Amino acid sequence: MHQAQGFFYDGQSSKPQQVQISLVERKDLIEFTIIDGETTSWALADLMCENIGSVFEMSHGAHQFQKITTEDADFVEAVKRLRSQNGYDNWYQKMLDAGSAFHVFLALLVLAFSIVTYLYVVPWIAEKLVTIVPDSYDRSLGKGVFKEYVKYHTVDSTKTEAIREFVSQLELNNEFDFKFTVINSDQVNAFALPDGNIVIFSGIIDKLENYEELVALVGHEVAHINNRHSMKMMSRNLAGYLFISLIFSDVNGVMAIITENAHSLHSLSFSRHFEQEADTDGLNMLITNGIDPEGMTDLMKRLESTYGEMIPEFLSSHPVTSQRKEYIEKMISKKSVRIIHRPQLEEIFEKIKGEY
Amino acid sequence: MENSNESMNGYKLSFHGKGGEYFGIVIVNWLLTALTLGLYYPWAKAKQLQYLYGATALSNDRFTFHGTGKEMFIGFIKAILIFGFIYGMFFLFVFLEMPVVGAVFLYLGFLGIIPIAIHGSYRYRMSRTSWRGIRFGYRGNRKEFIINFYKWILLTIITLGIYGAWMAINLRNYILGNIKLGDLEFKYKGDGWEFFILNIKGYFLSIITLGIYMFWWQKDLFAYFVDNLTVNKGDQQLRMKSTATGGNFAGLIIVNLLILVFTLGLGYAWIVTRTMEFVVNNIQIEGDIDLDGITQTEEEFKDATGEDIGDMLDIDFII
Repeated sequence: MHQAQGFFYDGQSSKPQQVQISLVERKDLIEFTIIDGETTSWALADLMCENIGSVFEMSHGAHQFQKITTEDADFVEAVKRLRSQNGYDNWYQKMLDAGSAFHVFLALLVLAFSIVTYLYVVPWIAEKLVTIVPDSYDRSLGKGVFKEYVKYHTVDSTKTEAIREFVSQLELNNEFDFKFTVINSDQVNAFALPDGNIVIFSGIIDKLENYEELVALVGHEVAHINNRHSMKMMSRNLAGYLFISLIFSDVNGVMAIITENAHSLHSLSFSRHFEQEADTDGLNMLITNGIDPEGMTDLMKRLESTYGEMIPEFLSSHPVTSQRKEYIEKMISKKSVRIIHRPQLEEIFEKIKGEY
Repeated sequence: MENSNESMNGYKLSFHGKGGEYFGIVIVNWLLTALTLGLYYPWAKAKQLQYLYGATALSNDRFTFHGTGKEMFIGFIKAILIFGFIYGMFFLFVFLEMPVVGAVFLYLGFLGIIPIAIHGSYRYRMSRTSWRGIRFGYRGNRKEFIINFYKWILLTIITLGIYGAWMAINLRNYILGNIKLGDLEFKYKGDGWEFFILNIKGYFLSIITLGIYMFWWQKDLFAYFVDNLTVNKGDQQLRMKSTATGGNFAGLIIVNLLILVFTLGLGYAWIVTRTMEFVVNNIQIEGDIDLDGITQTEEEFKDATGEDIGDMLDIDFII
């Protein structure tokens, strides 16, 4: 039987009462006698034990407001051994006792698991989720954005009408009703909204030199819509963000900030991936319509002359233009193409350019 | 005679936590929280609080946090339902094309739960904290607190934020003044004017010195908190005094930042234990209360909803 000196706190007063504690191994309990002579016994299974520094605390009662503390190392050792033999240690404590090397290993494990999940599992789930979202959501979302957008910009109605006529001559494989609008602006750009609204700035039209390039531009934007890129992008970004805040924000602020920034950089790579997909689909659209696929390469040349290589690729939403040109040319070389001259498109193109 | 002896060396706060041990807890919690998609959070929090309280000692006896993950999980679920309701109503109004009503509902909803969260989290946290088996307790009156809270918020808004200094001090006076440890009563004696001046001075000197004065501002804030806090029992008293200097604060904060940056945040556990140690070692206690003579007075209280709402709103516990 192990015995030790300790202090008993009765949960009524802060006064420490010196007691002699005995460990009764065969009954699986500890016994102690307070000054008034009454002997109390606590079953080991009911105790909450904690080692803090050199002090060992055993607390008892529904919420452990009664406790005994002791610093007797042999006694503590015996109590711990018995508790562990009888399986009173919980698994949490076992994990804590496993040591720093194990904890560092755990940290790296969680980190690696998070990264793999983030890179491969989350985007996959996010894209699957998009298929559940009905098209009507894309439509109402795009419509809302478009309504707000045209409020603050001027629409060139002549060019808009002409471009709609131009597009009506093409086979677009459309799943949405495309609605093209030309906006007066110097920006050399165009964008597609998920409901089928496509906005083209007059700035990019001014740069184009032949109708094949315009078909390429149309093909690229249409591909964004047919592939529901906006929704996929939103879904991936949101899912990635949720995942990251789940894993990192409870740890601490710095990790949250680092991971969130990494996430925005990474989401640019989704964007580049979607741009490449739109280039590919746009190119195929040119080919199905019997239009010279070089139109896509030419379009890239116009963009290159405007933007040059301003930002490094990892900071950009689009692949570097020279690279786009390269992979487009590679694709063209692999395809057999039958080109039909389309004078009607050429005529409308001149009208759009305003050179009639 | 005994009393004066006690006041010289009887009261000492000490911190026995180690960064490495706390790191283990943080990492195990991290793993479990990630694996359970966040549901483990209340248990994780209970473990962390248990460690930090248990590592803090007064006169070599540890504080204990008795809160359990289960209690906090129930609070966590209630808090989620409350937030879900507020956001749900907001989206309902937006859907009905009444976004303004929705926004008003959202703000009023949050404003409505802040005082309830503060009150609830103090009640819970205090009733779950003990020293030598004697419970802490928070005896604030919820209705009185809520009315006061809105009065102070309103004054702060009307004065474009200037009253904020008074509000902060009123909150401390009220909350800390209602904290008990058995039959010991805490009391905070802050003054809005002093606090206001202290902050104005800190603000402008920090700008003039390109931020260097911030450490001394921090020192003043800490001292203002500690020096005005007393513990009372009848006419006996414990008084506290901050011994931290601006230089100490500079050392603490700069090293903490370096640890955080160079470990990409993984060194967070060491920052917590260093900071706790710093705080605890810089509070000096003097007085004549017999620490063996405290008796249990507070009742148990198990509702952790306030604690969890406070967490979700990111309200810091100590004001």
